[in-house]
Amino acid sequence: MTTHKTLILPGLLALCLLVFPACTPKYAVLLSTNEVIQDDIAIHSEWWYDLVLQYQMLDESGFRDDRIYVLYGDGTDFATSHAAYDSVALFGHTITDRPMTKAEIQQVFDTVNDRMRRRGYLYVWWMGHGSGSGAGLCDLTMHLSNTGETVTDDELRSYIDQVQRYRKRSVSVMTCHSGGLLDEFSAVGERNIVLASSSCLESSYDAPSTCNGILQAEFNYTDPNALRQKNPCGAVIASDTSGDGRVSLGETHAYNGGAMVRSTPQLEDPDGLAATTIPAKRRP
Amino acid sequence: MRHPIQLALPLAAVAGLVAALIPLPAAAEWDHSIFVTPSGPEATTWCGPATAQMAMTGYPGETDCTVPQTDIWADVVAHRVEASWDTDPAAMRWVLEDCGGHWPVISRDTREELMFLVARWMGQFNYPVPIVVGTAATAEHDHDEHWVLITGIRTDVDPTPYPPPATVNLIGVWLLDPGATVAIDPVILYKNALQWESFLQPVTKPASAYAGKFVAVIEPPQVLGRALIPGDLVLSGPVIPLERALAAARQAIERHRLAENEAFRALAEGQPLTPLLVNREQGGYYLIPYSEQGRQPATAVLINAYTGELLEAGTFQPARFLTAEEARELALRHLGREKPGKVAVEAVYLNEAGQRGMYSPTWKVKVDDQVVGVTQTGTVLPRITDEIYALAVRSKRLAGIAGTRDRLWTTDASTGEVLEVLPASGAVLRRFPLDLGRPKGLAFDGSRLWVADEQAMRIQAFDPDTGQPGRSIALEVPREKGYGSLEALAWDGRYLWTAIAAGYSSSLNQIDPQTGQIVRSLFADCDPRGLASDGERLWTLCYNGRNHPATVDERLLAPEDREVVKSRRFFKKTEGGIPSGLAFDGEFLWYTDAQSNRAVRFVTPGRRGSNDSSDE
Repeated sequence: MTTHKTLILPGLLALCLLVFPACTPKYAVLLSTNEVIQDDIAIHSEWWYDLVLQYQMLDESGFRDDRIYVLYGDGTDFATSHAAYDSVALFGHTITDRPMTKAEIQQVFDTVNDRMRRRGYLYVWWMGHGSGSGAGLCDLTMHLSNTGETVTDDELRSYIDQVQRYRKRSVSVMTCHSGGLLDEFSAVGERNIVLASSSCLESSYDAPSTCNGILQAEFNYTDPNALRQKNPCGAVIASDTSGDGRVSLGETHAYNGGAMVRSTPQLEDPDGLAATTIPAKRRP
Repeated sequence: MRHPIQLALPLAAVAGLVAALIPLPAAAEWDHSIFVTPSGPEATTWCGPATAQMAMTGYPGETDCTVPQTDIWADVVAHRVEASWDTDPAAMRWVLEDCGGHWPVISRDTREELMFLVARWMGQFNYPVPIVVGTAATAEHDHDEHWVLITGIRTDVDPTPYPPPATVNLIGVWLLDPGATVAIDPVILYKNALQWESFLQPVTKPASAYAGKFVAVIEPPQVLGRALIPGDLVLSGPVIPLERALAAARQAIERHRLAENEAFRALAEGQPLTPLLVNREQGGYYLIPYSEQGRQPATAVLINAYTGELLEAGTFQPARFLTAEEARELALRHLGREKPGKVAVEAVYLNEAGQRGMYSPTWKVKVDDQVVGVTQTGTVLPRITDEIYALAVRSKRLAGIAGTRDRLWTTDASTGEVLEVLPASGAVLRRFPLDLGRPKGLAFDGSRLWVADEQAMRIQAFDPDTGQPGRSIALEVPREKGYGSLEALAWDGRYLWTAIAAGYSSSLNQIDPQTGQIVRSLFADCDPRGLASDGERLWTLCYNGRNHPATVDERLLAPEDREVVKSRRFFKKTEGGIPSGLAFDGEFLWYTDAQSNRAVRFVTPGRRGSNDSSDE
């Protein structure tokens, strides 16, 4: 009888994974708000390189391809000359699902809402230009450079709120003055975590150097490196301070704080979830 | 009192082209030449003694005075007044006077005034004229000063009668160039007026009494007048076909009666070989060698690749010219590439010291991403620059740049000065100590120079002729984006533009020059180090870290920001380590590099030559 139990439980679990993908729903929305036309241009090519590194991190963390929504440029991948950032070479397929427009941002969160379950985890990543205004420059306006549109911090919050069912959600944002997004997600009980690349007063910058010489935004380089526990060259990154073999968003923020030298990374964690939220886990 | 003798209005470039292709009646021209025995310098830096020695052999009548160069050099050293020269004008005069005559040193603010005097007195009294063609190293003479001897001159009317004519047009100049070093033989050259204009440069030795002036030693003494140079040298545009270049050479030889000079006999008796197109994109010319009876050519004519005008004709040691196909094969063999992808072959003459001259261009062979040079003797150069026209500027830390076709200014971020440099050589003509803390950006609005002082956070205007300060405006920063450092300044015809570096918030800001207020702010979408505009387009010099070359982009100044972003394209990768400035001179763009202290001229996308001669 005991033998039967030990066989039945894993079997049910496997069946659940096969038949009901929503058993362990992890969804990601990657928003890269520009269109790259040339390799190796600072503060230009990163919109593609950083996106690919995010996708790679999510892929390795068990996010299924059909649950990673990518909005970028005109809706097609950039044809890079760097094989390590070529989506087809890396993943066997292109990664861009939709063009980057304000309307598409709203629609993608509607789509995720249709598929998301109560136990799900939503991972949002935003990469682009940001302007600060208001008191302490903490009113953040984000720019869709390829369309000329803008999205305010309030608007982004409302778009994310279109996904009504979730267990946790996290937002990683790389823009200048991105600390301005924190107060939009500071209410206790909403199960939000925000990681931002800089304070309200600061610009964000490129990494002073990268292991492979590829230009990357500093935050977008250290953040996935921490979560992957390795850099793009494969060298080990000591971000797992707890030693449990996986890296939480709390550990990621701690690593960012030590590794970033050009701006001050920010964390908003009103419910104290960052230390236990591990994107690579089946239930982050 | 000055006798203001001037020429008629300068001819337009088109008129110049027509004039070059339609021979003028011989009666409409005046020319005068003198036989002189060529001699080269017997020691490095002895172009002065060699020129003096040649001049003495050309004295009229029976007064031929031949003096060894060693004796001339001893006299030069003994009678030199300005220590910054090897042979200064005073020493040249003393040496020439020793053989008879008066030989005053004549210095003038303009080429036109000086060349009138050369024409008038050479025509009347038959003495050749030693002249300083520059005091900064160039590709043609890497010595800091260079003397050549004018042995003939051609103008449209006779400049010798009294009273002198009101105007004369300079057509061409015969000269003997002793060569810059003992390794180079003296050459006989005939230079078209426009080519002569770019060859003849003012003195740029800062402490010299002749600084900024054109200098010759002429027998007998001075009169006043001007031999003006019509039009401007055309340096870019669509390339004329090879057949037209050959026809233009034929006509030029006839019109300028070049073959009447014994040294250029091959131009009449020989046959032209296949013309070689050199520097297609800027400063392009056809090199047309002439061969007699199948022998290796020793004479060639240079034809402007865009207008068909004669640039110059010259003699050289008999040489075989490598074909593009031969250069290609040598390069592929050197690179070990049996099955290359894309191969492009182009003949280039680089404006850098050490080049062998316009008559011996190098083949630049690009095999996929690798570039090598192949000399006319078949030597493969593992590295060759992509920059056709670069100037070394004597500056501690070259920063901003601004300019027109005729004038060029840069800032020195280290000394706080603004420098006026010669576009032909990079030699510093003037320094303006403006009491600026850290000048970086520089822009020219047609009458005023604007300089951005990063330390004072102000933009200051001043008069580029007098250095007198004008309007000063506070630097406004787009608060919503932020400020890291001020990097560049530009003028779009109505507004100033600033480039502010602030990481991902780096911005390009259109500034009202009256109020200093920002009227438009764009994200730079790069790490900006230079900025330029022609009113319709905005160019940015983008720094890409130590691992990637800085790159120049172009954007259309459309009303909507989205259109500006969409119009962006990258078109130029630069050389050097610290990009520091960008300027548009009305035809070309220039970038500066603070590591090498070089200013490099290059072509905008819209002005590239349409006739692609590359071998792909």
